[in-house]
Amino acid sequence: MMTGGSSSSGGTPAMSGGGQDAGSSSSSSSSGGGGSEGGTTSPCSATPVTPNASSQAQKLLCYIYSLYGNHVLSGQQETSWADPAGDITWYATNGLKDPAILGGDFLYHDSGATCTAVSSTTTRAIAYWNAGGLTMVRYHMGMPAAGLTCQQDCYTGTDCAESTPGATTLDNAVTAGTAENTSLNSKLDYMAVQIGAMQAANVPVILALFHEAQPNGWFWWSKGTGAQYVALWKYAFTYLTTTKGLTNIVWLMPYSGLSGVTAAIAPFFPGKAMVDLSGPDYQDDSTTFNDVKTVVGSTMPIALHESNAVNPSAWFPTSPFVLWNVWAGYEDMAASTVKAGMTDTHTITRDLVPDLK
Amino acid sequence: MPKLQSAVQEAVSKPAILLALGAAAMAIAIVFGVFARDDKRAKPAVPAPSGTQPSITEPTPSMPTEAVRDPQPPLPAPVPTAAARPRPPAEPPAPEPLDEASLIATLHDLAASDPPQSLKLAREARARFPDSPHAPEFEWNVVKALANMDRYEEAAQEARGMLEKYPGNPLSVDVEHHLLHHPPNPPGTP
Repeated sequence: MMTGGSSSSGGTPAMSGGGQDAGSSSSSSSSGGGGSEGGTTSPCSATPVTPNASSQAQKLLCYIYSLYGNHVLSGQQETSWADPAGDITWYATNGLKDPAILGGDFLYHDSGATCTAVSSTTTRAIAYWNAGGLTMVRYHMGMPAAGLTCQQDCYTGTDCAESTPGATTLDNAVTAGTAENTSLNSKLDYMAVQIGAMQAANVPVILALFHEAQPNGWFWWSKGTGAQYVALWKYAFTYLTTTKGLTNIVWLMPYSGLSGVTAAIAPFFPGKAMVDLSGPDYQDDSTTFNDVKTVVGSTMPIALHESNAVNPSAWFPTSPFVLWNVWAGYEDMAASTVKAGMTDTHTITRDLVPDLK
Repeated sequence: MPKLQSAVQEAVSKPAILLALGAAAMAIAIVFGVFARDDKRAKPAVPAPSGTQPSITEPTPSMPTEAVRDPQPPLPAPVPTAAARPRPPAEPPAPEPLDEASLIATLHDLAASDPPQSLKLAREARARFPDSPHAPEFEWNVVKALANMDRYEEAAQEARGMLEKYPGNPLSVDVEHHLLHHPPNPPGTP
């Protein structure tokens, strides 16, 4: 049993405790190639889909499973592009405990750094883990195109995250020998440098790659068909785990929470063999929660991987998100809800996270 | 006698010949005119059933008699009219405008595959169904189609309008998040 911090009024769950359907999850999640081969024995019935998952990744996933249905991990996305420390210090400034999770974005590199350099986003993530917290990272990856590496990554413009792919871009990206595939590989290599640095520091990471998946999504990876999205996910999953040998990833498949289209998200689900967690963003109502649940099943913990306002008191028991992640800046814009959420009896703050090392 | 004959011949022949020629010309014209009218009337709207023999009681005009008895002026030469001019191949009729449900379904089907068409349909839907519960979705599709064409300034402008119209709507939050309050490009981005 994990020994966490002091209990909140709601009780801090032990890692081996049962979350929502935690005990029934092994048959599905273990089918993804995860397991004890080469790695340590999982401390619970939930096994990461990452092959040979590190003991920290296993403990993290078990802990998340233990929370599911009864508690929620608080999280905060940092403003990686301007004042990363400001988002976390906002909590202390406002008399609150630190959130359990620090969210980062691989889009931002340090000035002049190459794609093989460990970024300050990564070093902050490692520091947060060492301070007792957890880390979750996403990547506004620029669109793969001839000659482009992580150094040309951008949000809007030509071949940026929000760009619309050409007719062959998505298929070429996962086809060896194409310029798009070379470009995608270079970006995945850059990711591998960052995640590898975390692995070297025994830090597990919740990876919310290719986020906000939906039909007609905002980012290039989500502007094709569900099948193309799944192919991309599968490619990245295999590349990072098998090709690059990373074992510290907990895979969060991040849907968009956009109402009106959630019924169409099923084709975008890569399957339980390649996904540990899933969930929508922003829309925290039970309908959206259940839309995702319908797709991913009743055992997989569902996360609110991006959020503005948070309202955990309304989530339980109908839509028990297992984590939230307030987007950079919204902690101030939605301050009243964040303050209430951080003191809710369901909420896990950083000081309550057990030792997962 | 010869004088008489010739006088008679002369008295009879000139006006008589002229009269006979005039009557003959009129009769010919009338006959052809009647035929022309009968030709038009005789065209069946529907082909006769095969094997049907023409009726023997069908009146057959007695041309000269009828022409004399019922004289009519010759029909004027046909004047070409617009209807009579050879027509170009008929254009297909304009398609019926899609109903609201079909517009929504089409926009969903199009997704990001054809932004110009999505923009056209979304603008049409927005104009035709401004008070529909789906109006915010049509607005969202306008914004999204513009963004999909990399027309970010226009998309942002539409997004601002959408926020004013539908504050707090999840779709408004979505466009705000992605177009008005999104992460910047990293420093040094071209």
